[in-house]
Amino acid sequence: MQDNELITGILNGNAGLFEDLVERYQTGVYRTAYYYTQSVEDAQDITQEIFIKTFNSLPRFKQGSAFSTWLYRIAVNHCLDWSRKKKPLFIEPASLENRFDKSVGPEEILLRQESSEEIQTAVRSLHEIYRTVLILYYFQDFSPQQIADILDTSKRTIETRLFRARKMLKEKLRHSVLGGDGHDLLSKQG
Amino acid sequence: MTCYLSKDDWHSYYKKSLDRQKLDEMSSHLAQCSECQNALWQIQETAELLARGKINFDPPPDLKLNIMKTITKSGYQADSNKEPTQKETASSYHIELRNWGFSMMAAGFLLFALNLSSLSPNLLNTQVAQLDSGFNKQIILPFTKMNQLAHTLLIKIDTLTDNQNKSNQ
Repeated sequence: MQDNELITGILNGNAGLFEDLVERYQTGVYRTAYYYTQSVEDAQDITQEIFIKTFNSLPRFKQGSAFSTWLYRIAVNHCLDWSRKKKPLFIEPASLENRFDKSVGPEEILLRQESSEEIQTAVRSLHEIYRTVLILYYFQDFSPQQIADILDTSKRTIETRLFRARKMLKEKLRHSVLGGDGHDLLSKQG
Repeated sequence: MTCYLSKDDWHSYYKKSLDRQKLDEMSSHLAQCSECQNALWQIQETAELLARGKINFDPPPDLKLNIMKTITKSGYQADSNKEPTQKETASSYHIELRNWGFSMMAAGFLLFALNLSSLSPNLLNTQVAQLDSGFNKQIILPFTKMNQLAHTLLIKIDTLTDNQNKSNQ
């Protein structure tokens, strides 16, 4: 069943169909929330709040438009509100082990954890408009046009923000996190 | 040849989120423009870098259950707090009106019964007391008086009717 058919069913009184929408989008929304919060507990709470907010706002959803775009607009706004109110205190070490492929060795996992933490710290330190486009484009695999729809702006603006965000991220990784020009994570080009 | 660097389409090109014609056009351009090659290379490099920060874990298994539980619970709360329907409102209004009506009728009847004794100048308080000291007995008195009044009224109506008939003849 397509998203719009499910929504029509829900609006006609079959609230149980919302479970299908949750099943379909919970992973993406949960991961997006995690990129903002860096906490599995907070990501879980926020994901729950996002879906409940979405359910309660369904009567205002414009049939014919993309539900995923609308859902992610709610999700991003909710995550940004959360970020403005609360700053994450620490990254939970226990949760990091679950991020990676179990087939690699513990040393490799540790290296990847460190690298992942550095990158996520750098992304998190960017201004919210640049952090958001990086998360949606590189982590969540949205196209610039989809991001433009989610953030209610133009594709050109998103492309520009992506270029700027890339430059800012490079600076953060080179000077703040990785501690030197000699690090090879990013090239000196651009 | 157009340089696409100024057109800011390379992020879309990298995601292949452009139409076929546009993608082919940009691919042809890319083969000849080192500036655009560099722009695309930077996007690819950033994608590879950020792939290291990408998480792959799934939400906890009870997340969906918790969401649906909350929705069901809030749904019930919404039901208990919802505005009454027009039918329910009308029904309640009629019941209230009926209760008021009964109350007003009872009060009116009681006042009428109590005041009716004043219509009879011949009736003394002692006579009332003689009927009975109980309230039920007092209620009988106005009914008797009402009967007498109704009887008198009927006689007068009959008399008037007879007189009118005689005058018509």
